[in-house]
Amino acid sequence: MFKRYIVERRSWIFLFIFLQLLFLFIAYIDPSIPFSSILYIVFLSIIVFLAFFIIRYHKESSFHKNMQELDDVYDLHSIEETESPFEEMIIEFFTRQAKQHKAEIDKYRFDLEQEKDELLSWIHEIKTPLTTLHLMIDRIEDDSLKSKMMYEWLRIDLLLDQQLHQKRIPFIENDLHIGNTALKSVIHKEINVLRDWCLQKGIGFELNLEVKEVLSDSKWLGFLIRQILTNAVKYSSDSDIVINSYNRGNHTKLEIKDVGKGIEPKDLPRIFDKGFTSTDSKRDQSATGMGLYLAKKVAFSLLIEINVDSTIHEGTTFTLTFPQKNEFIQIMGM
Amino acid sequence: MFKILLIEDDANLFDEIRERLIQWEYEVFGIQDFGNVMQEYTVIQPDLVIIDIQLPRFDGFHWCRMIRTSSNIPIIFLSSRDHPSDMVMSMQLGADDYIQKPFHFDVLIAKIQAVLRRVYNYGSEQVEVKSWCHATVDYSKNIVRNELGSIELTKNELYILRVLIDHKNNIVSREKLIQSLWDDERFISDNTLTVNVNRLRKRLDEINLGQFILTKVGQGYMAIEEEQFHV
Repeated sequence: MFKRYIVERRSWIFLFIFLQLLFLFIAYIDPSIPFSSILYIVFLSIIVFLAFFIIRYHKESSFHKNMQELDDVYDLHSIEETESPFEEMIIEFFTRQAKQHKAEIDKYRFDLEQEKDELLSWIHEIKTPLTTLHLMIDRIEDDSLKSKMMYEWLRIDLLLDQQLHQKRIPFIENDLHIGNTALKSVIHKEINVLRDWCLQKGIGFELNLEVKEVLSDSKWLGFLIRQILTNAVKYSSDSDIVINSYNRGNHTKLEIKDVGKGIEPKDLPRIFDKGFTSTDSKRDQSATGMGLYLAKKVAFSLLIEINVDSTIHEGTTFTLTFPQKNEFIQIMGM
Repeated sequence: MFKILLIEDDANLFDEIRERLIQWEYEVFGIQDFGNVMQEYTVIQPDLVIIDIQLPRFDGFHWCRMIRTSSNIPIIFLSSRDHPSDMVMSMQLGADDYIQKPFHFDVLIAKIQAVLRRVYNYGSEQVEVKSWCHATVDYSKNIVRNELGSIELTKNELYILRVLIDHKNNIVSREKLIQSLWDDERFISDNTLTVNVNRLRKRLDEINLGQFILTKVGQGYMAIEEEQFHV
């Protein structure tokens, strides 16, 4: 900082040095002026100048120092010591700029929220015709046509649901209702969503819930579980998906185990990436690579850790590790 | 016959639900003028009201509040929103249940039956003990007993036996068995059903009853009554 101040004031310093040298030069060539007295004056001037320079340094640099140390660059009010009109001008300019930025950001945020709300209400609108359609498909007599239509119907429903939650994730903090959540009812609800598809593929579920309740948000936990179940059902057939809950140490774990086709070891680190779909050449055309990506994001907000363990051709196990109670209390400020 | 008032403004959805409810032998009424629901409600005098939350003019909560000022009639809400506040609001207004769209019809009918049973004490006497082929099937204790002894069944095995006995002398298809197991929140797969039925038969063999559960290849299973078997 001191170096910068010297550079900043360098022309004034040069002027001062130049003036002192000028005095000395004049005294030197003019014999009527006693050189030693001038030397004495110059010496005193230098001392006064140095003292002045240091005092000014402290005064003038405090403003800039404060500005540099600012955490919130838009909040200029915390700089109190403006002492020169120039500093005031700077503050005024940046305050104006900050105001304008904030107004623009607010506008974009407002537009974004409005767009989100419109999209959400649009998705909710669609749920009514979807319900009607489901009841109509139910009446179809041709079993193979019926089950194909049910599957396509379910895909639409699941995709809409993903979109709904994806739009909400940026605002998830305002949407969390953390409470004691009964695992059984959340899991049953999600299984029932996938019911037609599971019956069609000959898939069943085996639930061993040693731990009945976890502290979480039931809606978001349901969404998270649905993504994992969808994945498990998609890659299995004629088998059971096992869901276990138990305590390990201080944490509750929920395990979702399928005996489907498994995940290639090289794919394993990437399954939670956005847009990632299996590198298998026979991959499912309907995979969007969004499900697990969203699951990971939601898990992060719910403080749930997701682990995957998979052996190719043998199956995949997803393990959710729930946070301890006090971790939530710290973060949610409950 | 129970009278159900279905307050739903979407005509197609209304028709679909109505049709299905009629098959279940309910009498279903709709609303002509959504600005004046109460008048039609008073004329119809339903036993149960199903209200969609999103309605023209006033929302479902409004009509729930109006109905609650004069009656304790069971009310079920339909909603396409999934916000928890909707559910909380419905419960605070005294609704009996809440269903989110899109729903399976089975879920709707199950909720309607549950509410009606609770409110009107209808069909509440659940049969806990049944006799079949001179044996006693105790649903509450998971036990089948005859003079040869008694066996204890698992919940799944007992449930399968129960469905088969309820349809005694009729073939129950595998699909139907699985459907009804799923309805009862037993999410078993096709393979597991085979395993369960085989195990059930083996257990029943211990008291000489296994022969009364027949496998009809390509059709399903059937429980028969002993007398018919001899004829």
